[in-house]
Formats: sequence, C-alpha cells, structure tokens
Amino acid sequence: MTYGRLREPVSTWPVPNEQFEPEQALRARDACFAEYELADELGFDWVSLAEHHYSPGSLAPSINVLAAALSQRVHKARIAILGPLLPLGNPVRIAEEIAMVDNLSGGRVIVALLRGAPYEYLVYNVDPAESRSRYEEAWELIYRAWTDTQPFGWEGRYYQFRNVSIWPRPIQQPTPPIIVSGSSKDSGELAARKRVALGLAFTNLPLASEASRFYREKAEENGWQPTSEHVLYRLNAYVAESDERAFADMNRQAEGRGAASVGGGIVNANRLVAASGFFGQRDANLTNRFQNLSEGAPRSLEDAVRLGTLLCGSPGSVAEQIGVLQKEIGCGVVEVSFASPQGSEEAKRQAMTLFAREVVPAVRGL
Amino acid sequence: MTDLPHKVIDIEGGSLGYLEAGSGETVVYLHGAGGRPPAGSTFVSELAKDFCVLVPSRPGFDDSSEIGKRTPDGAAAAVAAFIEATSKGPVHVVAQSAGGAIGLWLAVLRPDLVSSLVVSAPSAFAHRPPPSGGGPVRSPQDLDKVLYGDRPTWSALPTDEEQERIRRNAAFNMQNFGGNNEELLARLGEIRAPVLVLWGTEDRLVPSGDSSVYQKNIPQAVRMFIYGASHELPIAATAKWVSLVRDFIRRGEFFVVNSGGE
Repeated sequence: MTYGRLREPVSTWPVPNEQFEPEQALRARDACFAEYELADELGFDWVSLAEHHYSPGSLAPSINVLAAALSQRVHKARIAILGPLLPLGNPVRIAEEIAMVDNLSGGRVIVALLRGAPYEYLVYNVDPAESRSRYEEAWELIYRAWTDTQPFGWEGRYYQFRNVSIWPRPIQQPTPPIIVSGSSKDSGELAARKRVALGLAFTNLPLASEASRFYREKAEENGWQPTSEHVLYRLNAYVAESDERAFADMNRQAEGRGAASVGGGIVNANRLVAASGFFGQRDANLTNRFQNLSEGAPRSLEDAVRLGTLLCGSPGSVAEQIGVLQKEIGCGVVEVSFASPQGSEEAKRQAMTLFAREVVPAVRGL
Repeated sequence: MTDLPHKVIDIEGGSLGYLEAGSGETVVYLHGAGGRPPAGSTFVSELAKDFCVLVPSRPGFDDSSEIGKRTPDGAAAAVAAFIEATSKGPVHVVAQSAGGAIGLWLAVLRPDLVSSLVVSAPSAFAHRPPPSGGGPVRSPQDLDKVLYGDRPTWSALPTDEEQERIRRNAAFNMQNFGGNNEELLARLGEIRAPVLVLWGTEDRLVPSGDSSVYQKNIPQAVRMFIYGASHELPIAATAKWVSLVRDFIRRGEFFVVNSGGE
C-alpha cells in the first residue's frame, strides 16, 4: 500500500510526515484495496504485503492490521504476509496476530518470517548485531506458540514470558505455510533445517541461483528434498501488449521517479546498519554489497531483465523470462510487484490483467 | 561443589550419602541417572547462596546403600525417610532427569513433605525417538554435547574417575528405573504442591514435546522452556536454571507475575 507521490520531492529517510494529507491517504487506501481485489478477481494465487516503516512508499507499519483488512476484501486468493520483522516485535504478539488473520481469512495465510532490510533497525532502536540471534530465538518462540497446545513459559536470551497460550491457534495446522528469506547463508540453512520454503527477494539471478543451490544442499543434509514450490523468487514486473511498449513505459517511469524517490535516504540507512554488524562475519559479502550498491546494479532495463531483477515485455517475452528464472533458480513460485509507470494505476491494472490472462497460463506448466 | 561437606545418614534399611551446603529453607536435589553431580558443577553452590541444599545420592547410587524396592516409588520412600531424618518440616524438592519420577512419586505419596517441586527435564514417561536434529549418540564427545550443550558451566571438567562413576550409575539407573511409570502418570492429578517443569528447547535425550504431559496432568504446574539449552539443565544453562528455580521457590504462585527485575 503506497501513499503515492509527494508534493515536494524528498530524498531522505525517515521521510518527514509533514506532507501527509488525509484525503490522499484515503485515496491511497481505496486504490490499494481496488488493486488487491482486482488481483483476486484475476485469479492470482496470492496477494502479498510487507512490513516497512517511516516512508510513504509503504503504508504497512503494522502489517497484520492491513492483512486483517485484506482478509475481508480478498475472498479467494491467499494472503501472503511477507512478513512480520521478527527482531523488531514481540514474538508472542506476532504469533497471536498471524493466527488471528489466519482465522479471519478462513485459513488462507502464508507467512514469511523475516529479519527485514537493514534500515528497519533504525526504527525501534534494535542493535543490528543482535538481529540474527534475536530472529532465531523469535522464530522458535513463534513456532512453539502456534504448535504447543499446553501453556508454557519461555526463558530466552532476548525474550522472557511466564505464560504463553495463544487463542486462537492458526486455522491451518500445524501452522500456516512458512517462508524464510534466503538472502544470507544463515537463513538458507535455517529454512533447510526447519523444512520450510525459501524466499529470494530483490536479489538477482546469479545470487539467487547460488542461494537456491545452497538451500537444496543443506536440505539434503537434513534428510529432505525441497520441491520447486519450496522456492519463491520475488521481483518487479511490467507487461504490455508489446516489448516496445513495455520498455517505453518503464523507461518513462525511471525518468520520472528520480524526483520523488526516497531511495537515497534508505540506501544510506542500509549502508550504516549493514556496516554495524547486521550480516555478521559469515556474510561479509552482503555487507560489501550494501556498501557498494552501484557495483553490479543493472545499467538499463534490458540489463535488469538479463540479471533477473525485472520482468518486462510482452506476455510472451515475460513468460520466457520466467522460464529462465525457473530453470536457473528452480523457483516454482514467482512473486511479482507490478510497476505503475509514472504513477498510472490504469497501466498497472492493464499489466496485471495481461499477466493473469496471458502469462500465467503460459507458465503454469513449466 | 568440590569442597562441599560429604555426610552419611542412617535411615531404616540402610544409609544414604549426601552433600550439604548453605543455610535457609531446605532444598533437596534429586540427581539424574549419572548420580551425584560432578564436582566441577557449580549450580549447588549457586543455590546454596539462598538455601540449605541437600544432595542425597539415591539408594544404590554412589556411596548410598540399596534400600527398599528398586523402583521410583521405592526410591521416593527412601527419600521421604531422608527428609524426615534431616529436616524439620516440608522441603522444596528439585529433581533432574531420572530423578524426576522420584520427585513426582514423593509429591504423590508424601505431600506433607513437599512444599514445592521443580522437575527439570524429567524422564518419567515413555521415550519416543528424538525429533529431527536428534539422532543416535555417536561418541563420548557427542554424548557430552547432548547432555551439556555448547556452553556448559564447569569450575573443573569431570575427571576420568568421575566419568566412570557416571557411566556406572547410568547403567544401574537404566536397569532398574527405566520403566514407563504408567501408575505415576495416572496419579499426577493427586499432586497438590506447586510444580515447576523446566525443559531445554535443544534437549535431544528427552524431547521438549514430552513436557506437555506434565503440564496437562499436574494441577498446579507451570512449564518453562529454557531457549537453546540441552538436557542437563543445571550444568547446560546454570545461570538461567538457578534463577528460575530460586524465583519459583521464593515466590510460589507469584512466579508467573513479573517481579519488576528483582
């Protein structure tokens, strides 16, 4: 759920909220619901939402509030909560809320239990160096809260509770489907150890291929073999009638976005947190990646498609691009974030429609 | 624990060796399959900062003679005689692993002697195969890890002689106390003392899922998981274990209420 364009461009993060206007926020809400409802009508398998903070780019600081609202507006598609940021919240509260949304939706929740992007750690003043260990402890506590049917207490390094017995439990037993981010080796190992799905988001084809291979290798060590349905790849997408039209629309978006982008502030926040121990020693390459984002970044839309960070083109071309992702990464689930060139909701709706009607049938059997 | 005074007391049918430390309300610690805690463990000394801690070797273990039946309820009767001989009134009982069945029987049979009961990774009921991540113990080093985890608290590592004593005791325990205790299970509802059930989330010997049966069947049970801890909680997670045991003994039913960092 995005707020839309600001009156005055802002390049810092956190974004000052002085430009917040209630009328525009209500329009954003209506557009958001209309988009989710369209996705539901078009037959997408799921609709997703993600927790982010302090920016008009994503209005879902308390992700389960929005998920609860969606559960009453989206009637067929699953609701993919991607996801609560475990180290930033109260794990018992997260377990309760996800279970509640699963009840409200009649058992349609998919949940990614995530650490979040580095910059999120500036929001609630959590030590980035504790992120991994907080995440793993919260993961265990949430899972036990969902699955243990007798009251219990928890004496952990970060979390202490003397009474846990959540009501309701999830409709889906023992838990809703769980996804773990595969951006780091620690996460990939955790997903393999826990026998849950791997989510690869906003990375690129070579890195995702390597992460997927690592996950499968670790799963093998843990005595099981993931199917393609256990690997999710998330990226941006835009579809138009022809390749020419799609690239032209997206090029216009790229030109227009600079003025309103808050990317610079987030990039800097990410850099600071990444350098403060967020990725730990084992994944020093990820720290370097956040220090030097320009290195290896796509130079053009064509380059982005080649690197697997964007689906763009006609329905036929996008289906081929998905085929490449599936072959290289082994992903059976492709999660797309549709672009709206120059803020055009109509163009976005058309892209979603084309994708659902022409791309999805073509890739279903891959 | 190395310097704790070692005593022997005669009770009906034989004698029991025991360690004693500290002063205050009495805590009787019932050891697991390995017998008396290794000399290099520190948890008894830690508990003894607040309580009078008595650590009897159960009948047939270490330097204690065999007394009565070789069953958990038989051992509980001997422990009851020990408490009557050493203490003026009811005591707090803390029972680890295989000692759990004895502590539970004691609370069933002699409620007048038990003010409160802590069972720590008790192995009273049927074992099931450990969950994923478990598996057979492959070496002495692996057994140490299964028992004590990655960061045990030792003032000194167990000597070869102690390790032999532990193995001998464990074999004796397995031969005589390895049953399923079905009668005990049926009688857990009779326990009137407040009970704290402690378990490590990484326990590969007795999976943490086994803890539900205690919570479900004991009327006043509070179940706590110590995150990341393995089976021998007093050694594997000494600081957290001592803190929880101390808090439970001191605060009783108020244990479940945040004490404001006391």
